[in-house]
Amino acid sequence: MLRVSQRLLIGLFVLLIFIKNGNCWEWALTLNKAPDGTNLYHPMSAIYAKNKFYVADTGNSRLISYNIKGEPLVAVNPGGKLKAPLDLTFDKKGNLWVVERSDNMLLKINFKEKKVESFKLYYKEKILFPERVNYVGSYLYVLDRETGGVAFVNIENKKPVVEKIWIPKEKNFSGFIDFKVKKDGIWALERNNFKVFHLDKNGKEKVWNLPESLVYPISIEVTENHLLVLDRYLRKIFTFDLKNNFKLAGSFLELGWTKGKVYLPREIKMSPLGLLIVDEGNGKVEIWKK
Amino acid sequence: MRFRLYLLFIIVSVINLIWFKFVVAKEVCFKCHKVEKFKGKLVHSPVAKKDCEACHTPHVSKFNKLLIAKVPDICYQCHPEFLKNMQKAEWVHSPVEKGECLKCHQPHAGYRGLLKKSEKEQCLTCHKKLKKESFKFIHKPFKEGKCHICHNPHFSQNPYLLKFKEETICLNCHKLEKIKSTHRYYSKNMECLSCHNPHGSNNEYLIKQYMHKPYAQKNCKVCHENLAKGSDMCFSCHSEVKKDFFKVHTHYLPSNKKAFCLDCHSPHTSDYKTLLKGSPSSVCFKCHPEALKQQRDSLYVHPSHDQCLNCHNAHGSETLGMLKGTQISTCGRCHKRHVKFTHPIEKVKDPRNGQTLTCITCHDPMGTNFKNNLRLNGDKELCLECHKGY
Repeated sequence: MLRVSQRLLIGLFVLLIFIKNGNCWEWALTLNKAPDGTNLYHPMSAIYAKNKFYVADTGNSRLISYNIKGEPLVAVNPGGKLKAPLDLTFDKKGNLWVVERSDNMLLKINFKEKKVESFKLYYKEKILFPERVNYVGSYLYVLDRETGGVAFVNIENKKPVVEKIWIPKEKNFSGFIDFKVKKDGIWALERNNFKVFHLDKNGKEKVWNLPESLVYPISIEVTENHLLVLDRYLRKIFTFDLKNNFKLAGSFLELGWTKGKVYLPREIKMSPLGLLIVDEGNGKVEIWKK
Repeated sequence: MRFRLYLLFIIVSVINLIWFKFVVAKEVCFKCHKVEKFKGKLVHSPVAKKDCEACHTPHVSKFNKLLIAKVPDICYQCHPEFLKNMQKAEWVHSPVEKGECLKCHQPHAGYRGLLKKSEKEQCLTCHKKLKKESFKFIHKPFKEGKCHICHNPHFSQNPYLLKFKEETICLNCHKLEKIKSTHRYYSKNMECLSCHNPHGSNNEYLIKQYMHKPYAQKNCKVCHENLAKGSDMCFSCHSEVKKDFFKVHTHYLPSNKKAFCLDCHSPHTSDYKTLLKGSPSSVCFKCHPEALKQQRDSLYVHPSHDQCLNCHNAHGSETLGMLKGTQISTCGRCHKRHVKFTHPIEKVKDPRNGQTLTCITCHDPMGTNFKNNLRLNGDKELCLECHKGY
């Protein structure tokens, strides 16, 4: 028979394990190879669409698709136009939009017609400098490094047209480094200043300060109740409770070079199959589930 | 009768205690520790009161020098406001942050501010580069060794531990009217330090050594009346630089109000050939606190850590970490022999992640806690990451 003190100790131990795994995020899948067996090299972005994963394998100038088991399907470089693909998204017609850094272009890839079109984005006589893209609803949203804001791009016509750019009114705004479009509006992370912005559908802005204990926040994701912030230096994803005044709810992930660990993480993105974590340093994309 | 005896005993005991504490104890230390050693231009107040026990315990202690607590905790016991203010400060002098009060101060008696040496000598003990500078023209406070006129030695809300904001600190001594009359394009937000070296220069008016060509030619119109806006103004002359930014890793930044180039470069003069606003590290660390954090948290840091541009390309790069070339070629520029004769690299894959093995697979030049900047303990731990069977 166990003594009361022993029972208490065991109880405490179980509680500690529960607290530690409070977020319950666990590794589920790794995408790290192309169909020819070669490794990914400095991947910069990944998405889940049409029951497949798509990865921008930037260092190898190609896009790779995977089935939901994580098996590589196809690696492509449409028209040989990809040199440094940074991000990708599908529009409602099934066209794939890719940010191509080498010539500062936005590529529209129509797989059915085997056609690739290149566009430069203009706004008020300025040439924009796209970094990330996300097609939601009726707009192609583009994170633009020229203005630091999020551009609303209308792609209904032959050429994409930038209708407006969201640049927060905040003083000393240094530009966004990541953004996500959700049902309740746009969430964006500011470069350097440790601030998260939210723009609702009525155009109302809100700002939150991230704790100074973070070192290099690089990407965000928003779930129903939580804001997830990826810190590239600390190699951790911090979760903040949106319904409890942004209170830190926990963290997960750690530095490493093996499964379930990250070296130089670049982006996080939520998908119906879990959280995609793009690890540029280890040349892989991991899917984590709750 | 017995009560009177008790009372007398208590009174005598109290008198004894008081006499010991305030008379004997004060003198007893100095029977061995010579009084002369505790004299200086300024004497620390407990020493002046001969209250050695304010900091030391006479018998045994866990701490060096028989202190009653470790430094800096013992200092904060009497200087609590200092700690509070330091925690609120944006910039903290590195020794202060590390709690190394005794790096600059003498606890018993010393120079002004209880410094170990005169103010100028004390600052130049660490800031050696300033010692080496031989300027033709020297800023008066620097010449006189009065660093404190511009800098706060402990902490500040301003970069370089300046006492006031960069834009206003000069106005404490230099009259605004005179400045306006000598600066044709004067504006409220003008940064004096973008053209003037606050310590000294070989140019008159402390103008920094290297000059932007239009500035040197007094052809201000080239920029100030240029129709192009933002970074395009800079690229209208420096077109060859623009393509450097079309790289996977880039420093292309927003140019809503002014060219982002001016985040790092001075449009007029600089102490650096590339017209950087400050030393490479000070410019880079402004936006990359992670590099500074890693340096401070590490036992072993690359000797050129502060020379960021030795390894990194400041505009853009296709390589992770914005390196000047591949990881191997970047390291190989200095470590020539090591790149040729080492653990197999380049053609070998890291079994942990399938990536090509390079120098940075095992080393982290930005800083680690292991010798030779190894990422893990080189005795065993690091090797076993890949060589599992050994």
